[in-house]
Amino acid sequence: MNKGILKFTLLSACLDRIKLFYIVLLGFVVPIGMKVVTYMHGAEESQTFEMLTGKVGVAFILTGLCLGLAGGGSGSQTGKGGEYLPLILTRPVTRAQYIFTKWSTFTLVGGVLAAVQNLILALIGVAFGEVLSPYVVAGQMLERFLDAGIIAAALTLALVANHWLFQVCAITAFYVWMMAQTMPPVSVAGPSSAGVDAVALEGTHLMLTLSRLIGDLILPTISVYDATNAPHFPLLAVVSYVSTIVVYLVAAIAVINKREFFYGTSG
Amino acid sequence: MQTDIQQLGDVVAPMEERTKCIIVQDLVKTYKGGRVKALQGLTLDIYEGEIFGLIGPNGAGKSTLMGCLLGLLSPDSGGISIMGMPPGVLSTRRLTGYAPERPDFEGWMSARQFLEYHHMLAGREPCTREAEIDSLLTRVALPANVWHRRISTYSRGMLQRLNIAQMLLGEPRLLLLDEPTLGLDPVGVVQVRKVLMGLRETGVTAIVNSHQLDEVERLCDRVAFIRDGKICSVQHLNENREEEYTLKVRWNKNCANANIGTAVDEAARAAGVVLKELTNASASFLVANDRASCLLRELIVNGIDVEEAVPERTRLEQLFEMGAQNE
Repeated sequence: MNKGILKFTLLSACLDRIKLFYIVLLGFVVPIGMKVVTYMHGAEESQTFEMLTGKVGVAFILTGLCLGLAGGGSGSQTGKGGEYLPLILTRPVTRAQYIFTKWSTFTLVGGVLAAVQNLILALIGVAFGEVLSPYVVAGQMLERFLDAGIIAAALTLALVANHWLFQVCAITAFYVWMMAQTMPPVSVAGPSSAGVDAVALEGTHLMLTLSRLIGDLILPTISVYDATNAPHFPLLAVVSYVSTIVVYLVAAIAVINKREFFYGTSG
Repeated sequence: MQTDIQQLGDVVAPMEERTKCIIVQDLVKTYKGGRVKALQGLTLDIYEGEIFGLIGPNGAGKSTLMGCLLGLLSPDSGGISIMGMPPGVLSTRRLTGYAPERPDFEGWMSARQFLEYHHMLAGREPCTREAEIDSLLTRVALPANVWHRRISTYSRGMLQRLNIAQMLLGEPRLLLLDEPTLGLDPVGVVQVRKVLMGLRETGVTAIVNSHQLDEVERLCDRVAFIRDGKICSVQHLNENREEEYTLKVRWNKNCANANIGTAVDEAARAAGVVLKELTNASASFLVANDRASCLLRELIVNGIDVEEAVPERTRLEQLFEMGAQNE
């Protein structure tokens, strides 16, 4: 862990106006505004705001935080005002240290912001008569931290691995994952059935099932509430979660160690 | 034309008495699966306390060489030794300072924050931070009233000063500079020159990659001309200043001397220089360095009302031209 990278990544979340704008807008203004509006109009059953909260909310916050990360790659000659990686990597800092510190900081900042967002949304819900125990809310907040850990690892890998094929795969995987996360909740599909199964069209059913499977594969998460109420320790979920983070971080370190930084004119 | 250009492999006695700081041996670097050959067996020695220039056309391999020296690029074959260590390892990076060509740093930071960040990255003692940063910002003459301003509001010259300051963090023994005076005003250029000259006195080695030949000529002890990934020639700039160059002399058109042609010819002969070209108001001469003043004196003695005398090109321009002719 490098203290300099940690400190200035934290500072950038507070002082970089573009990052701040994205985080405030996508992390707080939009989801909170949507929740308040749906409750004010008695449309809380629609739960459209949930598309911007939970895991997706964490992903949006982290995307904002990662803006400008790992600039100055082989495609560009400059940092374009962002983080100029070639200059940082000429300092006595190992590339593994850089990746690990960035991931830790993103997890910390993203987790705190997502947990605060979760708490605000829960408080709004309670204010409008929703019944939520502190135990459930605490579980959700912890879950946001866990989400931040795995999404930050995936984003770190996606940002340092700049091969076009990997980028295409990563962006596709992200959209597939997002589709699984934002599919209509049970209440919309039909109260008597079970979400995806209630969607009549076979093609859509297949697509949603597939996206859920891919989502579970690339960003497996642990449901804290389920885990604490389960009769046995959810070993499989924990192993899946931890091993995926390890794979992403090891891959990111391997990629950045192998990555070359050419900043001259191509001849 | 006589020049002091040395083909690689020639023995240069005084320089080679110094310790070698950088040894580059048969360096080969290709891109796109070997289709683009950036460096083709480049060999080079740079000595401790030397300011070494890299010149050559775009795509010659200068930046690739810098990238290999910084450990940002991995050569296909060949070897690099920096003070006895491979490039890119932490111990080498502790001794290296790098000033990139385009200092588009993190725009949200202030100069002080930026240097604080790099002070931490350089692994310096926290107790030295304030004093070291203040001293560097003063040294590169960045006005104190902008130290706390966002970098995104800086002019190109201010950014370049900050770039030089960050390069000097951690008291490096080897400096790699990409276009160090680009965008600087004349005062800034002199400032950078002073800083580098001062560091040379303390035994710091510097490699300057630049297209500003005048500046390279003023700064560097030796210059390598690179083309097609190879070193075409290495020129010593602080020795043997006897080579010839073209001097263009301009005089008043209404000069009282009616027979200008004869007068100029006589002056050239008396000064021992070659008259290359003559018009009504100017002439070009091929002169050795110590003959220029003699030529001007002779011209005035012969009744030529001299207004201006300008060297047509620097020695490095000549070197550049020769490199292009050999293509």
